[in-house]
Amino acid sequence: MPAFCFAMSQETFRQLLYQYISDELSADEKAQLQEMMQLPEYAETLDAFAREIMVSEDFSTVDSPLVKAQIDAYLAKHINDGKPLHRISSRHLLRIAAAVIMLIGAATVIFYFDRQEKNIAAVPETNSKHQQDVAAPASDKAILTLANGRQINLNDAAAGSVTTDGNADIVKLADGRIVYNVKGKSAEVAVNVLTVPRRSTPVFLTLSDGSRIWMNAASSLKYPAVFTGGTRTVEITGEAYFEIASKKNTPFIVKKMNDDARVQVMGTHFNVNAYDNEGSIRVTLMEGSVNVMKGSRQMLIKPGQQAQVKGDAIELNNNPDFEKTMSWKNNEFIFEKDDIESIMRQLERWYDIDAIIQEPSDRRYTGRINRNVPLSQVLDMFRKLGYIRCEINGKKVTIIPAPTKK
Amino acid sequence: MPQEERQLLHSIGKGDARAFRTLVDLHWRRVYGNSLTLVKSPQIAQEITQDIFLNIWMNRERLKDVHSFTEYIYIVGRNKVISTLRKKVARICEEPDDILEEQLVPDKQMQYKETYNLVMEGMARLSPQQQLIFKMSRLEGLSYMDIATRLNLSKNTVKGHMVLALNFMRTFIRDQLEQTLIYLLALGFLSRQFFL
Repeated sequence: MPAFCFAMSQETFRQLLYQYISDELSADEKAQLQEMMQLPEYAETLDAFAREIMVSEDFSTVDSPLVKAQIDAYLAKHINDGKPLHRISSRHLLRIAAAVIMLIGAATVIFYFDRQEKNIAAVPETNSKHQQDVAAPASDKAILTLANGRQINLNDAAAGSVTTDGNADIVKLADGRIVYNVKGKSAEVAVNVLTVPRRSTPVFLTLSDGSRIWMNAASSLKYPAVFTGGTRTVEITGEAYFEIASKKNTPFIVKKMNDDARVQVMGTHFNVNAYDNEGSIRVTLMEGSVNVMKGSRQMLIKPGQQAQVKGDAIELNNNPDFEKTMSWKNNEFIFEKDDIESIMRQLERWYDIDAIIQEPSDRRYTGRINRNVPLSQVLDMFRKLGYIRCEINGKKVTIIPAPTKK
Repeated sequence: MPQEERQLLHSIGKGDARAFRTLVDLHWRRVYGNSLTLVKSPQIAQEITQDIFLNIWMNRERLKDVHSFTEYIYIVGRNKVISTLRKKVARICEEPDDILEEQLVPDKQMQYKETYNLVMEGMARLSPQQQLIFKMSRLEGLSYMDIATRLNLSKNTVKGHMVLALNFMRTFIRDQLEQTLIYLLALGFLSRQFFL
C-alpha cells in the first residue's frame, strides 16, 4: 500500500476515535471504527491516541466527592490489606530494650514537671513511678466458646484442625487464621462465640460462607458455625472489619449484642465500631451496599459513607476519615482532634490497662503512632507537647492533663 | 518536572503514605476524567483510577526513575485503558452510545419517569455553556456543526464542551443511582435516541 494511503487511513482512524469520544459516530462510522480497531497496523495510532487523552489537562472538571471517597476507601483498604500480623520477633525484644531506656528518661521529665506545677494534685514521688512499662500486644488471642459451652483457647491450639462443632470443622492455619469448613449436613445449628480479649492484635477469621472478619481487641462475635436459613446473622460487640461473601437471596446481618441496632448487607466491605463504652455505633462502608437499621429506622448507605447510630437515631456522615477508621487494622493509632478520654479508651483496650484521668479537660489531640510500641511511647508523644503528665503503675495509668491556656 | 512534584515522588518512594495521599488529591480528577472520556463508564473509569494509584504505590521504588509523571500515569494504566477501549468499541454497534453495565431492570415503566427526572436534574447542574450545548444537541437534535454556527464557536470547542457535559452527566447519574437497578436504563437516556 503506498505510503500516502497509509498515512491517510491512520488519520481517518484518529478522526474516528475523536468522534467516538464525543459521541459523534454515524452507524457507518461505527462499523468502520470497529473494523479498524482490530487491525494490527492501527495499534500504534490507538496507543498514541489513548496516551494523548490520558495526559491531557482538558477533562479534569468532574469533581464528584463520592467518587473521591470511594477511591480513598479502596486505596486505604488495599494498602496493608489482610496481612497476618507478626508474632514476637527479635525486633520486639529490641523495642523492649529501647523502652527501658526511655523509661529512665521519662522519670526525669516527670520529676521536672513536678517542681514546676505545684498546684496540680501532688503525684507521689516514689521510685516506683514507672514500675513497669506496658508493652504492646505481640500476638492475637482468641477464646472460642462452642455450642456446648466448652471453651478453647485458640492461641494455645496447634495449627491444623482444632475441633468440630455441629457440621463445621474449625481449622487453625499455620499463620494463626481461623477458618470454618462445612462438612456434611446436620440438623443442629451450633452457635459459637469468639472472644478477643484486651491486649490482643487483630484476629482474623473466615466463616463457613467464606465471609472474612477481622476483629479488634476487646471484641466478641457470636455466630452459627454453619449458616442455614434465609439470612446469615451474627452478633457483635467491639469492633470488626467485614468482607462479606456475596450470596444472592441470603442477606448478611450484623447485629449489636443486646441491642436492636443492625446492619443488613448483600456482599460488601465495611467496618463496624460498636463498643459499649463509646457514644455511638459507627458503620463505615468501603464497597457494596448496607442498610443500617435501629428500631424502626433505617438508612441505606453508599461506599464512602458512614452511618452513626446514636441512641435511637441514625445520622449520616458523608466524609468519614477512612484512614482513621481502618487504623486499627493497619496497626496504627490515629488521633484527630480527639479528647483524652476517647484516646484512653482506645489505649485501654489495646494495652489492657485502666486509665484514671485526674481532671477533666477539653483539650484535643492530633497525632499518629504505630500500635506496636510500648505504652510509654504513646504517652510520650503527648507528653512531649507539654499537654499531659502521666505515670504507669502496673495496669493503672494516671493521666493529668495540663490546664488549657487562658 | 517541577521541584515540588519531584519532592513528592521522592517522599513516596521512601514509603511516605501522607505524600501519596497528597499525590492522589492532586491528580485523581485528571486521571478519572481522562479515563472516563475514553471508556465512558464511570464505574470502570473509577476502577482504572484506583488501579493506577494502587500500582504507583505498590511500585513506588520506581518513582525515582520517572521523568514525566503524567506520562508515567499512562504507562501504568495503559493495559486496562486500551483493553477497555477495545471492548467498548467492539460492542458499539449493538448498543446505544452509552454502554450499559450488566444489571437487572425489573420495572421499566416506573424507572422511565425517575431516570428522566435524574437526567433533568443533572442537566440543571451543568455549567451554562455546557448546558446550552447539551440541550441543543440532545433536546433539539442539532449537529455539532450547527451548534457551532449558531453560537459562533469552533466545532472543536463545541465537541470539547459536549465531552465534559457527558462526563459530568454519567458520573452524576451513577452517583445518584449507585445502589439501584435503574442505572442501566438511565445511561441509555444519554444517547441521542432518548431525546428524539
